Amino acid sequence: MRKVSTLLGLTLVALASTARAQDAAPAAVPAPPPASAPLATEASASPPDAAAPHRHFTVGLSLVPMALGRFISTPGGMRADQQAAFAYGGSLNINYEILAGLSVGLAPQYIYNVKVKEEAGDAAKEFDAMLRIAYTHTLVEGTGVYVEVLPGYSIILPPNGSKPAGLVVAFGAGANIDLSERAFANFGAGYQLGFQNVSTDAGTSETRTKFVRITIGGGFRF
Amino acid sequence: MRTSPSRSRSLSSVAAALLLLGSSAVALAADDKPQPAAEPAAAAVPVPPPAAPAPNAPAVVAAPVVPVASTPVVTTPAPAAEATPTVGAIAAPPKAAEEAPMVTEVGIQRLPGSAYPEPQTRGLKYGSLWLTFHGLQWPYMPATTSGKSRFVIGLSGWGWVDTSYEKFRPWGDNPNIETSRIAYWKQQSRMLARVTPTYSFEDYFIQGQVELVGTGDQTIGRQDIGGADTDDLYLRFGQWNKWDVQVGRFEGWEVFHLGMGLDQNTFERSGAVGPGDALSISYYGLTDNQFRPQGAAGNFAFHYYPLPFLRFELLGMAGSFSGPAYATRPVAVLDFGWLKFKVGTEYQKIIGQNLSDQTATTSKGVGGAIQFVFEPHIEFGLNVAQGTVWSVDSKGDRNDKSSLTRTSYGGFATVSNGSAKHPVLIGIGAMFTRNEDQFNPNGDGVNDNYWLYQSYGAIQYVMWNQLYIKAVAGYSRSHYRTPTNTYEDENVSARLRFAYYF
Repeated sequence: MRKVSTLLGLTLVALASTARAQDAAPAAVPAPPPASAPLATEASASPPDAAAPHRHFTVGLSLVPMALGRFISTPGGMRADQQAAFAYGGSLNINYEILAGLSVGLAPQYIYNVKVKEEAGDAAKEFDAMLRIAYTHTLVEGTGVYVEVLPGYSIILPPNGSKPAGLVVAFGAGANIDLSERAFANFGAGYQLGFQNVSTDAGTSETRTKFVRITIGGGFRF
Repeated sequence: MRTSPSRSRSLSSVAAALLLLGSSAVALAADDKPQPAAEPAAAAVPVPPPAAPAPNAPAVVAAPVVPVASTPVVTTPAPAAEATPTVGAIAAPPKAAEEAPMVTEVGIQRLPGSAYPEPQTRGLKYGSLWLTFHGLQWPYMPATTSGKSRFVIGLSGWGWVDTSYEKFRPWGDNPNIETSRIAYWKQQSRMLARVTPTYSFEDYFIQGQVELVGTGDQTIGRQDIGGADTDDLYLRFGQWNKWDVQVGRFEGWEVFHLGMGLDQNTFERSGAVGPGDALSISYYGLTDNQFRPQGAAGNFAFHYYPLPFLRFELLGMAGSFSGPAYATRPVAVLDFGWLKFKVGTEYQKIIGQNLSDQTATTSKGVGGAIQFVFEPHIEFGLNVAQGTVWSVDSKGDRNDKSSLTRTSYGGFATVSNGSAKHPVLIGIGAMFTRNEDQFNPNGDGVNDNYWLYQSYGAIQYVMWNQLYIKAVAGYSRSHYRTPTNTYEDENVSARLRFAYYF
């Protein structure tokens, strides 16, 4: 009898789960619904400042690591499409918002280690002078997503010899995160296609690059 | 009424099942009958009516502490006896019988926010540092504010599902290069329920914790057949915010912090080490004895908290892997919130089982990390560690390929939009590791020298405070120079993780 009573008692203990939550907590920690994931002091966002002026002009810097790419050349008329080495560089972008969300600007970038992946020896560099047209949509306070297109002109700078040059275009998408009223960070990904050619005594041939383009950076609004 | 032993056993099972069910998020009406208890004296005391729900506490949150019995009679023995039949023997605190009135509350509780201590900021909310406890005692379940002791079975846990892709792109003079030229799709998952019975009185506590694991692949392991069954499995006792002793299966304090990527059991964590790469390499971050030991081995640790911002762990390990093993790993954490500095060292020795077997592997290492948190937007950190492994075979000769020096360094950075409602975080990180062993068959000073670079970019959104959706892109490259050849490997990966913390 005692065993049964004890078991029933324990069962009732288990079931008596009333809504007396957290009464034993040493300090009241208000739980946001539905509540008890690891909570901490609220890292509240900077409150929106309705009186803050809308800033149209932005300047940003980005690292541009390009882990995946192709290096295309036509030595002796034979087209060779090979994996490119990990290219890396930097990009400056200067933008002006002409319509709500739509901005235009300049985005020159300089890339190092431009070569075939399996090729030993010195690598070329690449300079891309690009325009940037971007549309940014504010998802939530302090966070926006963007799509961008960057047409321009590219020149590959080998250690020696002729310099392939031609059009280049890049597409991308990413996110901006506000760090303050003026500062922001951004993270994006996209693809870049080069249409460079090189002219030699034997004629014109392709020496082109294609990259998966990652951008990690930040900037300021003015 | 008589109760047969078999019936008693089956009722015990039912009671145990109901105990678990009682932890569900459904708020039940209080039973207005007196609670039967193990001791007749206690049974005579009616249960106080439940208090009104906290205004901000939704019913689904709480499976709260429920007082079993209280007695104003001073002569009643310590009410620990009430808890004993529920979850096993609990010794009464030494002076409990002399103190009055004393109440032990018994209940099942989904861990509240206060169970996750944060005397200083742990990191950006929802970020990787924030999900780390930097040596703090958690789950933090002290006695009640009124000084009453209590016994609570805390429930919490987490789970994740990863869908990921990776591709290896090796090149160079590797005779097994085709073996490494591969791509994978993979979905993995892991979910655990954390059960933390805790008895707290005054400032003291006794706490057990078991993490019951459900696992999907992760290449099995943990003695296979279904894989892991538990993660944590330990007992701990001590004084809140002062000291404790912990014994069992648990992780040592983290020194290296990797940020939002390079999570355990992921492609970017393994990096560009393909099946055709003869030498294995992974980062070293004071990690020989950080993770839970496999097999018949366990940890014991003493934790000391002399100041709110200074913590020490002296961890030891003993058991058997390939042979008898023992280790120690002291770690110190200086934590001002915005600045965290962690440093440690470790020593591990594994010897042959047979007394005539001279096999011995001795691993040593030292490392540190510094982290900065600027709420609510930026956190970043740097890591560096170096270790050596000295390996001797069964005849007492040095094992050249297994005797090596490991060096790792790297860092991470995370930014957050700081939004409480729609938190978005972006993170990057990288790690470089170099191993150099003693294998030099030509005697020309050219031995195995190989390195591994790992990096990632990640973006995370948190829904409803608890559902973490994270995309991670990884890039890794490795370089192998051996006395006979030189080759490279490269790996790209992408991963989408859904994680739920509860």
